[in-house]
Amino acid sequence: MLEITGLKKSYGHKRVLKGIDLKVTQGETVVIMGPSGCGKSTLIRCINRLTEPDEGFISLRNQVITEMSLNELLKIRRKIGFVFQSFNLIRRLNVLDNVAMPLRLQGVDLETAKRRAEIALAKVGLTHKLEDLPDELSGGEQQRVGIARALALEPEIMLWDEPTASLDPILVGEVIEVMEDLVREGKTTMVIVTHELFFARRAADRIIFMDKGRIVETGRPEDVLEHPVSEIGRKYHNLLRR
Amino acid sequence: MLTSFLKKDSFIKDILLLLLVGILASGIFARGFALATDKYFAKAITGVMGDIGQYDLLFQTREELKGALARQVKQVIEERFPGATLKTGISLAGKASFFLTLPDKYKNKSVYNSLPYYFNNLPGNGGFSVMTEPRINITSVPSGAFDFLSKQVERIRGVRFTFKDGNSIGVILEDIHASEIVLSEINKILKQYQILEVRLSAGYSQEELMTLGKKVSQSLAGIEGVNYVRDLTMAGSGDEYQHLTGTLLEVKKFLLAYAAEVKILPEPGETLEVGDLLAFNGKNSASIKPGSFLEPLQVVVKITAKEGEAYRGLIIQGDAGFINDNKAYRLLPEDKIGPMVGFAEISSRKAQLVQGLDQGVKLLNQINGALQDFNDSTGGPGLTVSGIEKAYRRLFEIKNLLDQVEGGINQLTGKADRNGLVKMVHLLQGIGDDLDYLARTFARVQVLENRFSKTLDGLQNAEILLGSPLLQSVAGQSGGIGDKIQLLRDQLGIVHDSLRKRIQSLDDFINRFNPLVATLMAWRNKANSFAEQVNDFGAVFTPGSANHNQLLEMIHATDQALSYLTGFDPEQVKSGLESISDRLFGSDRVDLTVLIGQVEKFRDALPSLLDEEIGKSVALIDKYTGGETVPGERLQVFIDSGVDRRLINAVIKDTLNSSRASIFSLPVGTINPDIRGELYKILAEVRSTIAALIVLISWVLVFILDQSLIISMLKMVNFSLLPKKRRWKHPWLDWAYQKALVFINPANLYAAAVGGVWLGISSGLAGAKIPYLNLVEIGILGGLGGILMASVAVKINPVSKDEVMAGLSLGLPFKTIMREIVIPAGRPGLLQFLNRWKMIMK
Repeated sequence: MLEITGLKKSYGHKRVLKGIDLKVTQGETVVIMGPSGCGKSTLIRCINRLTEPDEGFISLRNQVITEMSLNELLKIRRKIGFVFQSFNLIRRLNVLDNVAMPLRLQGVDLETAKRRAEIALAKVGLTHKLEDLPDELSGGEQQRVGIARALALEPEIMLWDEPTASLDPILVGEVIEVMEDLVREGKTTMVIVTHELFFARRAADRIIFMDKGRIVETGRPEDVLEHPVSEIGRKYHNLLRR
Repeated sequence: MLTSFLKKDSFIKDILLLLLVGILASGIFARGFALATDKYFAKAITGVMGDIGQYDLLFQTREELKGALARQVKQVIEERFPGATLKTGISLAGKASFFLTLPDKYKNKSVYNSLPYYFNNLPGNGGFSVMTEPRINITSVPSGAFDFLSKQVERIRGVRFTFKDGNSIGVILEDIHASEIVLSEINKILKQYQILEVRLSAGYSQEELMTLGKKVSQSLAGIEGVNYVRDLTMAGSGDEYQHLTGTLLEVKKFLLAYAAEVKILPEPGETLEVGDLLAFNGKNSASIKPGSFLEPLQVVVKITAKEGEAYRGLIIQGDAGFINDNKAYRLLPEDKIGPMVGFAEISSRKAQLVQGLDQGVKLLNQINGALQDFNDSTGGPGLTVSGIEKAYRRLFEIKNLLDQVEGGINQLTGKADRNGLVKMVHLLQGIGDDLDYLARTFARVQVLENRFSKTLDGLQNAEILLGSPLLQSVAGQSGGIGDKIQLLRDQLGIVHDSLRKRIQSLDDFINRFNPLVATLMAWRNKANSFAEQVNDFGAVFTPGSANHNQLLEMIHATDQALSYLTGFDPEQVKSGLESISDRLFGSDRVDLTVLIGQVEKFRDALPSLLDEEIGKSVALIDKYTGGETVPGERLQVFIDSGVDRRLINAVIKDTLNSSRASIFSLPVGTINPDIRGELYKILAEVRSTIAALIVLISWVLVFILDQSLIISMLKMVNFSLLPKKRRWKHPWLDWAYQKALVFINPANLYAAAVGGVWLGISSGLAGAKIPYLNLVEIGILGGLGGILMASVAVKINPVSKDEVMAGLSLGLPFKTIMREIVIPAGRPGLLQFLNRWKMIMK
């Protein structure tokens, strides 16, 4: 479904991605892990070109994203749900409007948009907060709104950029719970960048370890976590053992 | 392309709409506000000044005195300007005002120049201003050049009349439309002249400045191309007091020259000082005794200057003619007479002058009388000449008859022809009267010469008296008494010289006439005795006889007399006598009668002042002029412009004998439009300044509220016009490229473009003016301001990157992100207001 080949990205003199090759199949949940600064977020942002890659090839359902025009890119982005680390909600809009907004702006009528938004919000357990503004919500709730906003578009693939990194440990759970529910549904292909090791072991079909701009190890959770071959894999293995 | 652009829903259109609406709104609002302000002030001006040409005079006084002022002005209106109307104006800050409208017939130079006299002493030091319009003012005109410039300006077509308004020439125009042409013509006139100001070093008295001013102007008059020069030194500031001061100084100079000259020679060991008072014995007072008190008829002299060992003084009590002796006593405080301190030499110049004039009149009358007597008694030169000619003809006849008698003598009898003898005797007896006439004429010529000679010396004395020392003191003062004395003296000199020549001519005449008269008288004696002898008709003229010899001798004497008479040219004699007896003297044809009249008139016009009166007058003048300030230690000369400055400088420096004098050329006047015009001009400036302020405020608001948001967004997008990753090997080149990357970016370019266009166009629409800048420069200023604003835009109006990223991730286009996310989150402004129609998620 998603195919990445030879993806490279530099910020100035710093090479962040040094040639990433990755394939994700339909319905697969792929968790990308690795130390901070290894290029995980850059990789996931390059997929919908929120960050413009320098080199490489990305395709989704055989549509080459890296060669798309701006209009084509806008269209493909609507098929890619994206959950940000810092929620990225529209502060002036209430919960319902935040979720309905992408639908409305894609031309969906108000009623349908609201209904679909409510469904999405129901999935994340926030039907009681429809009229609240983002500032009135807890971090976990805000992230769940962000998830609902991505879900409302009924994306073909969901990209998660460290969705729990901005949350305190107590709130992490409610987000993880939503994420696991979605995984269990199995309708959506997911690429998740996270440091949540236990979530990865429970939910991932495949775990990818990245280090210094490269994929250093990939495999099923039980393989890469129990018998790691890479240095990073071993570190995560040791973490599990504690 | 334009159609597709217009059809396309693009955020650029939003920006263009924002610019259009913003610029229009700002420009129109600024213009409207400025116009409203302008209208308000214009209404206030009209309220104060009336409509154009409505009022002619504005009176102002203190509020509490307005009734008194109105009464006084109304009284003047009744007496002087029937038909004029007085309107009460508004009272501001305790000042009441009245407006007077004059009927057209009073709008003329004479009335306007007399207004200060009609409306003087208004209550509460109230004053008036002339408001008549249309009017042009020529300000800063030196008073000495006032009349000259006024006359020239009045010749301009479109000028109704001019009048004096303080230091300005008020120019009233026929028509407001003539204003431009008249302004241009006045400019031309003003450019024709200049005021030369000569700055001198300190230490000049007013008298010295006055004298130097005259000298300089006289010198400049000699320069080629100079047609008009006038000394304005004492009229520099145009103050009437300066004129008074100048006149008083002239009077002082005359008085000092007219006063008695007192020279004090102190006794050895005595010390005197300037300001000391000395007393002298008066003719009709008791004799001075040291220790006594001063009496009214004693004479007092005040020492005014020291000259070597001697002192000069001025009589401040009595007169030079009252002084009995020349002993000077010190006058102590409380008018107590002190010891004798010296002697005085006193010469009364006024007495000298009067004496000279009296003597002149007397002598001129003597000359006139002598001429009158001569002409009356001789019947004039014509008669004298005809007498000579008659005598000649008679002698010639006698000579012929004598020859006939001699030729007709009978040789044998010795008898002469009887008829011839009778006729000859008759002629000889008849010529006596003619010869007597000639002799009398000659005697009268001698008398004339004698009277002339007696007058000559006296006339010279009178001339000398007039010449010294008064004339020397006041000489050179044009138009003053000095000129008059000089003129009289010159004319006396002409009469004197002419008289001397006439005496010479008379002497010549007498010298030539004397032998003739002697010969004729001798001939007449001979003729008388011969006539008696031959009266006896029986006389015998036998050759060799006594009778015959007498006859021959008679013929010889007659020949001799005839030869004398032949030597006289009658015309020459006539013109000689005519010139001697003429009443007009010299080549200047000085008329004796007129001259006598002039001298008498001048003598009678001399002030009959005692020396003490002169002294007191001088003291008073000193007291007055001592308090007057000189306009500055400078000379001012009104002169044509366009004369070679180097030449002028050289002449002035030469005249002043100073190379340090600074010479400046100043304009003779400055043109000012009328007050209303000035006010409207100021209003226009205020209007454009207000408009500029509003435009600037709007510009700042637009940038803070709207444009900063767009700029922030552009900065966040971080789109670059130049390749970002390009590096240059040369460090300086690379540094410059990196700086260019910072500055040449869409945000800065957008800010500069919008700032410039916005400020330039809205300023143009509003009629705004920023001092020293034109519209293009205002645009450039706007551009620079835009770049400045761009540098702080992110702080003024930040854009949430998270929200934008959310929009991007949701596949929203730029325009939608702007309309739905960025603008609604920004500051409330015009952009947000206009955006409301585009928003979906309201």
